[in-house]
Amino acid sequence: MTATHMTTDSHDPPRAGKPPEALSRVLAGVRAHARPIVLPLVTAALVIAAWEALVRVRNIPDVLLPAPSAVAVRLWETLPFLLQQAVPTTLETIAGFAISTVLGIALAVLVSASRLAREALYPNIVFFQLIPKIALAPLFIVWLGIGSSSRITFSVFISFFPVVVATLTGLTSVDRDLLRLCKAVGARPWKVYTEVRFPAAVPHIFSGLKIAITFAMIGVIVGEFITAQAGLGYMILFAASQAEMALIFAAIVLLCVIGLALYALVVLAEALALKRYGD
Amino acid sequence: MITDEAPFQAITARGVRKVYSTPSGAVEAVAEASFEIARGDFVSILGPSGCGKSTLMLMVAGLEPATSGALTLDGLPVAGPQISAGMMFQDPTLMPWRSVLDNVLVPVSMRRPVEADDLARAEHLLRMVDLWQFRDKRPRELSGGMRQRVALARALVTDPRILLMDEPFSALDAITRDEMGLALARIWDTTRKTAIFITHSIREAIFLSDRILVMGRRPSTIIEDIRVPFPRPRTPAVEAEPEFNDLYLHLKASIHRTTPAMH
Ligand SMILES: Nc1ncnc2c1ncn2[C@@H]1O[C@H](COP(=O)(O)OP(=O)(O)OP(=O)(O)O)[C@@H](O)[C@H]1O
Ligand SMILES: [Mg+2]
Repeated sequence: MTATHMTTDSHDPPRAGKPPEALSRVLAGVRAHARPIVLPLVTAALVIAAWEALVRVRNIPDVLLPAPSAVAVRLWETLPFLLQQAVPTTLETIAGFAISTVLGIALAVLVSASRLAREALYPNIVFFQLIPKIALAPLFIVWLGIGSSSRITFSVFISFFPVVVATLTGLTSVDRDLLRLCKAVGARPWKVYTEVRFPAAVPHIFSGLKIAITFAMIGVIVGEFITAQAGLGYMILFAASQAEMALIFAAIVLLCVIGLALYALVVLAEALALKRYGD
Repeated sequence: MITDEAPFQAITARGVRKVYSTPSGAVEAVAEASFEIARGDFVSILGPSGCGKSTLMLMVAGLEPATSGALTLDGLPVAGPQISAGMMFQDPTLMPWRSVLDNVLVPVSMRRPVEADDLARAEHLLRMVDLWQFRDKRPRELSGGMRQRVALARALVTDPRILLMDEPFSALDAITRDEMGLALARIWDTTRKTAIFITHSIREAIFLSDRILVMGRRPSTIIEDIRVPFPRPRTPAVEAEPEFNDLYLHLKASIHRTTPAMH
């Protein structure tokens, strides 16, 4: 094919003298795509600006409410120290999340595979969902001490229920006729699990994991509040005792960044999994 | 030893009854069903919704035990799932994570490793339903009719002795549905498998079947057993024959009689 052919065969031949139209179309496209990103950013920027203005105009003292600019300065000054504190928080969150994932999926398989387990466990699982679990945090210190195992265990305790419920939904969502077909051809039950139920549950499992990752972090921070040893949660508590408001906000900013990054990783894994297992 | 020449009926049902026990009490899904289906016959079952057609098919497949009565397949009592039955349902029930080819091979791969013969058969079937060039696609990339054709190839991949189809075209649009009917008739002509075909479409039943059973509701029994006289292979031209229309009107009236409450 020659170059002239390519231009004449092209579906949308560029018309000489009318580039503004094409340009405006491109701009409209960009605007349509950027809108869902730009709008929330603009809103957030407006809120922060209003906050800054409020603090400056009303001369609010730093110990009550620091201005965003003061928080930024404090964040910059203490960044090496804050990052150091962020390491245990992040690692414990990941550990709690990982254990929750394995435990939650295993429990869901057990409950869906065994009628006895289902009847004995499922009502309790639902009941546990309803408990304000944070109220139980001090118990974990009594049982496990103030080390990281205590915080990780509490984080698991908080975050594994969503995994169980989501996985269970997925495992039992398989079309009845497809299960019948498998049964008719003589498939062994474990084969039905590995080849049908589990792959079908993958999208559901990820909806549980997205909740679990945020819950796991909440669990660790609450654990740090109570055990008062290290980590960003402890930092916040300590800063509060010193009336270091800017430092509290700086720690919160860092927590948000870490939380967002962990959540993004799960979303990324989900996107990869859905490519294979999604409908 | 069962051979193709064996004088057995492919399927027999004698006094088959099914009562489901549910938390809200017993549901009599099939009151009494007795019939014989000769090897190589294509038999449709018509009947009002809820009269127990699907239940009857599940009992033939050995997926639901009959409460009482006796069912045989090729002369042997049905006890437990029947590997010799290929099945199709209203939904294609494909696995979205498997390719078209792997979906066709599901009945094999769920039981044992896939061999060269299985692949050859899957290829043959996919060519027959015009989907060989789509073998590496995922179900989500296919239309509803194409998916149901994959399901048909899957039902045939183990070369089953009987084919059980529960409203396989009900979820399709009218045009695709007609095409699928023609495709099924064409494929059936080359295989001549004993088939039970459940449908709500009287025309589809007449066009495809050697015999039509009509089930009634309350009590749910077989109230009609009609032979369809048209020679095979059939073309859509049979629909123009006066006999076709007579049969259609007769069946329609007979189904209407079973649902007196609906007017
Ligand atoms: N697993 C089950 N448990 C309890 N009751 C059931 C079950 N399956 C079917 N039934 C009941 O048995 C009766 C017959 O159901 P079935 O599905 O066999 O009817 P059908 O003729 O296939 O209906 P349709 O044309 O709507 O598919 C219905 O009243 C239904 O509610
Ligand atoms: Mg049915």
